[in-house]
Amino acid sequence: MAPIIKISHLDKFFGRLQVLKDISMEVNPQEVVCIIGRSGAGKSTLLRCINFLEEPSFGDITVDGVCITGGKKVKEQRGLIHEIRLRTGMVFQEFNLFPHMSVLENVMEGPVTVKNMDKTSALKIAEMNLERVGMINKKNEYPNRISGGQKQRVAIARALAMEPKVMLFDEPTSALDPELIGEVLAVMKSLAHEGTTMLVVTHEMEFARDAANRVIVMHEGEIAEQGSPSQLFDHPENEHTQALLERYRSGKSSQPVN
Amino acid sequence: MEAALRRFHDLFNQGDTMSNSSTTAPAPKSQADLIYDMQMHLKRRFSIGVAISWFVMLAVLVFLFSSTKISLGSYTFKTIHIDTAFIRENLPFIASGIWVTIGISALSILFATILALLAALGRLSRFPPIYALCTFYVSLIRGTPLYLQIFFFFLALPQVGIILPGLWAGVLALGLNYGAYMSEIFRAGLSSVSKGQREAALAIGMTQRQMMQRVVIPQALRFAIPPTGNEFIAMLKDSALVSATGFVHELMWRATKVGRAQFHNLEALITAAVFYWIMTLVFSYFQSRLETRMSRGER
Repeated sequence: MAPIIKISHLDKFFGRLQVLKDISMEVNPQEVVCIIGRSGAGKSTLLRCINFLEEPSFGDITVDGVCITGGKKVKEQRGLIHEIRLRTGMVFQEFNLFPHMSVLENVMEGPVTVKNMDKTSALKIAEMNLERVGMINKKNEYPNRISGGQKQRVAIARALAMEPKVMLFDEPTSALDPELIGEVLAVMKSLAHEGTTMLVVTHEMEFARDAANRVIVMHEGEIAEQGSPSQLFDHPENEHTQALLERYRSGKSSQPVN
Repeated sequence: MEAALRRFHDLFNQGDTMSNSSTTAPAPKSQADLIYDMQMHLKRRFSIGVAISWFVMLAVLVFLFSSTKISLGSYTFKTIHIDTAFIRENLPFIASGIWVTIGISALSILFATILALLAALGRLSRFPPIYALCTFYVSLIRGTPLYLQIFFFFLALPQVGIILPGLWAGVLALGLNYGAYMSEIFRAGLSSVSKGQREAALAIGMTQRQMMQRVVIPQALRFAIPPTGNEFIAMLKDSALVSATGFVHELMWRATKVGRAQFHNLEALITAAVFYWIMTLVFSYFQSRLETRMSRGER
């Protein structure tokens, strides 16, 4: 089967600083891939290059058959970028719900505004997805009236409502209080169980071990190692992976700080 | 009111004998209730104090203009005399300018809001001429006096053959001027919308235009509406400058007209001042209510 995401020889520069160095990777349909690594390793930048929130400097990114070449002018590829964004759903660390819209309106916004869907069909889709993340009972609340974990679940529903081919998660639990992390991870696990293709940047090692089919370790803009969770967590070969796991095991209490 | 008094009665009774549960109240008050009552009491005492002081100052002001005779020993003097008959006679003429003042202010603020929003959006443009146009406009308007701008539209334009009806020239001048200042408010509003909001909009596939229309501008407006109310109140008073041209018969024009003609400027101006003040008070009240309502929801 053709991969949903295929990245080849991706480079990304911020000014003179190279944050991604010749990255090549794939995500296959129904696969859950977790990217782990230290802060500043380039994990988030890699994820954000996929839907062009960051412009790749060099290299090709293909999502569900739509290919964009890095380094070209954005204007020339605007249509392609739009196509890719329609095929990807993004969940942010800071939720980024629209504060002037209710929970339901947040989830309906994409189908109605972007897909030009009529309100009745959009409502149906929105309610179905709020059901999926267990937030249907809060559909008329505004974002400032719900907890961080609930916000993130709504944000997941908002992305799902666009029926993307792949979900991108950018450290979805890093901005949450510890007691709220579980509910978000539970939703993500149930999505993985349903066969949603997911690419997840995370610091949650337990989640990576339980839910991922494949784990990618990044170090200073490069892929240090990748493999199945059991292979990677139990028999890490790369020194950076070993160091990362060592730090994780020795300091489970000390949360990684961004 | 009675209920509030009874609560205070209870408060002070309980304050003395904390362990005794009140015989009249159904349940004894908790510590939190007592502290809350105390805070409310202090708050209320302050506002009552302020209200009384305001009343005293107003009374002094009225007294100063009441032509009262005062005798201090052998020395007698009178406070300022006002011809109330003149005021009564000309009140309808002056008061009919209120609606012109409100009308010209409302039209001007509407025009200014549109200009300000365009100018603020234009400053986000990456296209040099548009960015330049917006900064040029703001710089030109802020660099010249409002009084001059008003005269420019009334007196200078006719020289080159452009004759605008009085009201429209006034709206144009005031609107252009306030638009330049208010563009800063809107700019702050636009930049108050976080980058994450824009990214979230783009990530679900919105175009730049949809992102602005659906996500950024609604939030920016929510930020900008209370300060716009403030600008409207300021405009109510600045609209008086338009009277100088003689073409718009608003409050100030009417006051100076009857005042000069009958040499009763004191009475005429005081009348106009009272009207301006009342208008400002009324709109400030609505403005502060709007502000509390807008600040309630999280941005």
